[in-house]
Amino acid sequence: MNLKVLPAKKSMKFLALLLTSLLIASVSAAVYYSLDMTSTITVAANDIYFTLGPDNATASVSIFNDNKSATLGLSAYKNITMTYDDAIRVRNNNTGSSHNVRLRSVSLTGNAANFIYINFTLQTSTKVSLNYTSDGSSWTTPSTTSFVSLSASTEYAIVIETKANATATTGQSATIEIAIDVEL
Amino acid sequence: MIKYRRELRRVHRSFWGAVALLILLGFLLQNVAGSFYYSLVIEPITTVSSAPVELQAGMAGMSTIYTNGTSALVSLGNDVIDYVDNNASDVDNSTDVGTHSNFTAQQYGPDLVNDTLTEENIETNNTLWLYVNADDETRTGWTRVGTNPYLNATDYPTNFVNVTGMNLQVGDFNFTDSGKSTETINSVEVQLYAQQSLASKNIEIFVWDGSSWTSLGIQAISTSWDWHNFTATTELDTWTKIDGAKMYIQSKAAAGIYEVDCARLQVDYTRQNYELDLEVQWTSVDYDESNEFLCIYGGTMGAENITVDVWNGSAWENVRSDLNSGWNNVSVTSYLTASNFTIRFKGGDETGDTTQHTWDIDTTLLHVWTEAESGSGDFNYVLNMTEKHNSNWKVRLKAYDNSSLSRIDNCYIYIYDGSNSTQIIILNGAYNQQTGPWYDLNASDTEYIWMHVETSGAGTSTVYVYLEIRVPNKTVYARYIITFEIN
Repeated sequence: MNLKVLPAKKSMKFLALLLTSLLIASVSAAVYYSLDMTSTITVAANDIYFTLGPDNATASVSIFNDNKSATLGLSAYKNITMTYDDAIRVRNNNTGSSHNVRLRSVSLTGNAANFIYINFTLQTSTKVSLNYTSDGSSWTTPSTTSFVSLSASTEYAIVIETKANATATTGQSATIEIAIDVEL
Repeated sequence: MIKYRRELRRVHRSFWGAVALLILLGFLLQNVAGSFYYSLVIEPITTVSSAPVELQAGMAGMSTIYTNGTSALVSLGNDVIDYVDNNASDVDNSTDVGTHSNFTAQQYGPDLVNDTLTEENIETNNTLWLYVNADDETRTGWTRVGTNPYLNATDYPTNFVNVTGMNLQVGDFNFTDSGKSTETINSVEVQLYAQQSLASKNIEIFVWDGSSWTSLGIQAISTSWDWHNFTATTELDTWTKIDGAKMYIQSKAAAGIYEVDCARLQVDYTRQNYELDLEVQWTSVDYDESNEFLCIYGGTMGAENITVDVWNGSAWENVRSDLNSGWNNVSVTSYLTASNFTIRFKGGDETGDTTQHTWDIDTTLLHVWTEAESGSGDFNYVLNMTEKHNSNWKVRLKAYDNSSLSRIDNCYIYIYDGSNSTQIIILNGAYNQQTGPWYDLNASDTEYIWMHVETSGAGTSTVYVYLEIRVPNKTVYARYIITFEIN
């Protein structure tokens, strides 16, 4: 197609040229962003990880998988709120950039009759929590939190509160798996 | 020209299609790019464990321990409001007199919802004798012996009248006033205490009803002293007529001697009497407090007094001679000695009360209490705490909420184990120290919580406290809830 031979007005030609240019520019930017994301993932994987808090021994904290996974052993007392203020932390090891994270419930097993609540709160400036509550017969699983920012070179404790039902059976347990999603 | 235009249309269609496709693709790429993240995974296992410390009741105050020693309510002093329980008792074996409109209303409030107590009419039949009290001596056919009024008593031969002869009269005699006005008159008789020396000799009686004389008939008089009745129910059918009645006597035979010693009116009447006698009772009363008051909130009170009596186990004892609108409080400490407590409402006028009265009772209750600061104000000890995990801990008290703190002049809460650790201080209605210092609770140790309290004014103050038990040098801690209720 030879535009020069088209009988259209000059303004029409200009409009078509402008739209085409914008289109090419925007598509090019999206593709470029996508490619750049791949390299960002690699960097972030080293930035965010778990560290031990001073209460780690009391909470039997174990960190593994390149500090990306952790297990804890917690106690819940009947009719008493037990608080672990600083057993495990999340660190943003990047010295220059903040990262956004959120808490997401993955799984929960354990008899709801034994517990009143198990609550996890990330101590960011805007606190986010996953609060697992029991009405004595079934659990209420919390929704995924919103993303909150981890400042560069900063550690944030995860405060955990537990409370067992007054009629709970000693030795019974609940296992919860929580994901901390790191936004890229 | 026609060919040119066709080519132009074809170019425009493909051009706009490409635009739309590329825009959609562009947005899609951006969305996918924004949702990339990776995850850390944390997996805590929470196990139910026995509590490290057990709370136990102390020796002072009254402590209630909950859920295997994991929380406690400490009551210092006591303050109980106990509304009346029932109106079904009958401790005196005397049937209630009067009615409740809504007994339940007494068990709540005061809320302007009243139980109206209403007197019941208890009718009684009575007999009244009105003796002669005057003789105007206008009729002189008989002989008068003694002193006027001659016929006022059966005192022959001191005072009497007699006659021999026919159609001779003596009178006129007046009678004592009845003092009645509203009672129902059932019958009236003129009675003569008389005799005649001969048998079958008649006598006639005339009565004045205020406007005229009427004969009550003729009767034979006995030959020995006896009462002789002449019916006057029709003639004297009102109390006014009775009080104004006069009588004279006329002999109806020439032979023998008539003797009359006494005359009177016998009035049989029915008396209306509005009475109130209603028992109400408490069961399971707290009867060992220092202060024990019966409190009755009155609404509209009838003109007649309403009294309140207390059952002492064998008899009624009066504690109120009347009730006013509003609160009527009276100490019943000397009577409240058992778990059952009974009072009665009784009308102030229970004899000859011809007016029905009502009284509104909004609330009836017992207020019993013992102040926290009785004695020295020290409560040693209100709670114990015993370590159960064979571990060392740090403990402290932390007040996190309260009510009615203003009436507390002075309150110290201590943890004690050989030495005092002052944990919470309240002075003049405000916290001076809300959180105590950490204190050692060693393995298998028992420590004590004691208090010094001084209050001003009645009421109940509550201080909600955490007993925090911390792993030494850690920030892991358990919180027990202790509620201090200070009366």
